[in-house]
Amino acid sequence: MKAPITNPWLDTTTAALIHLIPLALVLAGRFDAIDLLIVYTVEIAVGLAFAIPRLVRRISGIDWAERGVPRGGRIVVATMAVSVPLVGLGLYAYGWGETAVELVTATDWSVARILLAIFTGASLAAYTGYRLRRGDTTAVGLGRVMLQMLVLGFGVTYGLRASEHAATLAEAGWELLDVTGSRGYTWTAWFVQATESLGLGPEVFAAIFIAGMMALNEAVLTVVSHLRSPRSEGPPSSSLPVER
Amino acid sequence: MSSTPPTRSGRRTAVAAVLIVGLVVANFSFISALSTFERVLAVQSRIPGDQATQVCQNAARRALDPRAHAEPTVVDLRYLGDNTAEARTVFAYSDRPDGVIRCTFALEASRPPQLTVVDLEVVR
Repeated sequence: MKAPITNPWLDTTTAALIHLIPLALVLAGRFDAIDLLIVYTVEIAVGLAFAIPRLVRRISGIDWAERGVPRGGRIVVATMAVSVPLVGLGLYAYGWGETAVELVTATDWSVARILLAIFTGASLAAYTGYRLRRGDTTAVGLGRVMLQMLVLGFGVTYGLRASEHAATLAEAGWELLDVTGSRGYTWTAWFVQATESLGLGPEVFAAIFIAGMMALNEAVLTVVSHLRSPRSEGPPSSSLPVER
Repeated sequence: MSSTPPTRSGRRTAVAAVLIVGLVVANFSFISALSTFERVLAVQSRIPGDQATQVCQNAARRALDPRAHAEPTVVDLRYLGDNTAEARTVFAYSDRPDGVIRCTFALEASRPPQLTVVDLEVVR
């Protein structure tokens, strides 16, 4: 029997804060949008690898472990189910018309940078896996994965494209038109003003968006997970149910 | 007719539902904002500011004060969305008109960019 999570507030705060670590690395100049893609993809892959066997068991009643499917087989199936949509996501991140080769060649890859991204993603995944094994329901787990894929896919896509446009503008020596007072762009105007006042570029703007939404999603879904837990009928410090 | 007070479990479910709906709305709002940001940059990266200025100056001179020799000056350039932008032009030394001319452009995503003035308005 695994130990339950006994402090929902600490769990929620940790879930939010660790998802802001990649943003700190972006602000420190160590990461960009491609690194964020690696970091969060590793975490999402782990989330899906946990959620898929549970979903199969919930829908079909088939327990892979009881049917004698070896652990390695379960990992292979889950990995394939994860890799297909994620490869598509990675290609989509650079636009459907571009190729994966262009993405790789356009990036300033280095071993240290890739290792740092994978290590950061694995750290997030370790905490995600820890929570998923201790009472997160299948619905909340899948909801988490779907929302995070949505944020990551669109965030990296638009972030990369915005950075390219900004580079084009800078190269041509053109001035940005004023967008802060434009009609119908309240959110955008707010973001642009906030990033400009901090002296940040579009790629950092996108990173703030991605990491911020990841942290918000994790925090809120962790709260929902605790609210939906039968054990949480007791005092606030009650624990999550334990997966047996 | 009597109503049953909500149970603790029911309230928790309701709070969870509200949180999830709010979260989904927030995600789509932020994605929409980021996509708009990207689209604004995409259009603007195709507009040389000096070309927009020249087009607005010429249009204002032809339409409003063909005999004056005053030099109109574009003081503000603004993206409106839907591939349009507007510029405010001031005739600094002209007697007529003495206000601000606002030009609205249609922007065509071509290289080099094509700018067409679709509207002129005098702002007193």
